[in-house]
Amino acid sequence: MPTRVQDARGVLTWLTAWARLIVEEDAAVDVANQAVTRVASRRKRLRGTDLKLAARHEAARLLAHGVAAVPTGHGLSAGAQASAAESAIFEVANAYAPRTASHNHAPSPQERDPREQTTIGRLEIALEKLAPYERLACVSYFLDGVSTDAIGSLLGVPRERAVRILEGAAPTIARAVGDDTIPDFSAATEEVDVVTL
Amino acid sequence: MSSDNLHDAFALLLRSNQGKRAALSTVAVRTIRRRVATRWTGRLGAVVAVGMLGTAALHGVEGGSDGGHSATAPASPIATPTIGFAAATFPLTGGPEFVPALSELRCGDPAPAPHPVEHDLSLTLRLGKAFALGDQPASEGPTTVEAVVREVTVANQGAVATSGVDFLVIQDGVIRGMISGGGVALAQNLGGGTVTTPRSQMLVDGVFCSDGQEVTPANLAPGTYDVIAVGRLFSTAESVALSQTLGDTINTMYLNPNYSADPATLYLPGIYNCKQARPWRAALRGCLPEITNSAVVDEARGTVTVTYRVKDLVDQFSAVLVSDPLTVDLVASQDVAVATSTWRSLGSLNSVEGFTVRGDLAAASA
Repeated sequence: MPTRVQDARGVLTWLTAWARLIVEEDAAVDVANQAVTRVASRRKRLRGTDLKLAARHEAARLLAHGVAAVPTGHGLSAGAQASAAESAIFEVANAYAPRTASHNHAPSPQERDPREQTTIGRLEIALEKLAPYERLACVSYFLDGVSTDAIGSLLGVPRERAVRILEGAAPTIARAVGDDTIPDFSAATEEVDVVTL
Repeated sequence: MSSDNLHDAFALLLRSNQGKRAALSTVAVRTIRRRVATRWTGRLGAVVAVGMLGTAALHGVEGGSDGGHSATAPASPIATPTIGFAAATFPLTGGPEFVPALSELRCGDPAPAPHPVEHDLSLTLRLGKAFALGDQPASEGPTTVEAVVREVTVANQGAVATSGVDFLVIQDGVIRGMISGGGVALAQNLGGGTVTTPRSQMLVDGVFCSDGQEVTPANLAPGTYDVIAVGRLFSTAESVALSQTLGDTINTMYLNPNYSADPATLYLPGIYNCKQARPWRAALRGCLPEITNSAVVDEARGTVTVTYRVKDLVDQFSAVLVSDPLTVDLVASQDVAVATSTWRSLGSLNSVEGFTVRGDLAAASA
């Protein structure tokens, strides 16, 4: 019969991979270890999907209270965030634009990031342009099916702020995957918390 | 819809990231093993405590006409150890979780930010049915609002208590007043169901302000306001022990540390005051040994220790949830004839029924 430690090992690679969508490698390993430790040593033993869901909730909570906390006071205003996001869209979109001879500063094929060749590579590049809390919001919304309300709770901000965060960040990643349709984040949504393996 | 494309892209990236295996750190392995081992040690210790408490209670019963007063120092070890029990020790004045979240708020403060989900529980508001009186159509009464607590996952939460879910009346982002909801409720074994507070009528006459000591009318004008629910939900050894000992029908008002049955009076087992409190079924921590043999009061330390079945304490937590706002019309009671008659007939509606267990939950609890 597997032990609690084996339970924790069973979800660690998946959880670290999830955390790497939001923070860099070392922080992801650290957060994933902390989260599985907490969940695996709870009084009630969780298994399978329940364990993964609980571990991801814990990791998201740790990130939201740590490296992916929404900046207060010195943070960018909503308008500035939107502008930054628009700049990011331009940069990402520009990277795929056909180059002409007049583009004297266009990088040579050797200089271009090889990740631009694939969808997930472009998504990675787009995520790098976002702040950790924006990445956490986008991963929670698009991958995990978390509602805007719950993202607000997770980040400790009002719903309206959560909507603005998503609206500011979504175009960057949407454009990266070749889609320019942005969901209406302010619309009431059903909570569909899913575990994507 | 781009959400699907984005979900697929994120899923691909997630799978790609999983190509790199992660190893559980030595610290994590040790921590998990230590915590699990500590819990087992605690359970074994609890078995010892159960035996000691049983012995102590027995001494109390045999100790003379003043009963539990003698139930203090256990002298002999385990009588009959029982697996599955543990001992909860908590202050006679109660743990901090029993203070309602509302008591930390004041009229004029900024409204708390919505925080409707935590620890797999959600708090939402919904319009309730108007109260009906006789043949009066319910639709003519004032608006009622009820708070709903739901589990958002299927994970078993065990016995979840609340120190009260109350309502805040908000205007321009500022707290303008408060409306009492349900008070302390001890045992809400959600079991996948939902739990609601009593319906509260949206009458400006019932809106108050409190500084934690004095309660004054908020003197709001009738009109449209935002209403939010705020409440603390928790599961602690104390709440589980109290719920198992007291059940959920007892008068739990005095479990709130901010209330005292009589501040100048001592409530201890065997003392006249505990006997006096019996008829009104008030839950007083100092009187627990009058109710169960498994409770012992330590007067010197100001604590009481009670044994409880561990199965209802799944995961200790304490969370303050704040619902999203609901826009409602608050009316004056004199403007609503039906409402006035209903109000007078029913008296204080806010404390009529305590928490209402609904549907399959009722069956599960039975």
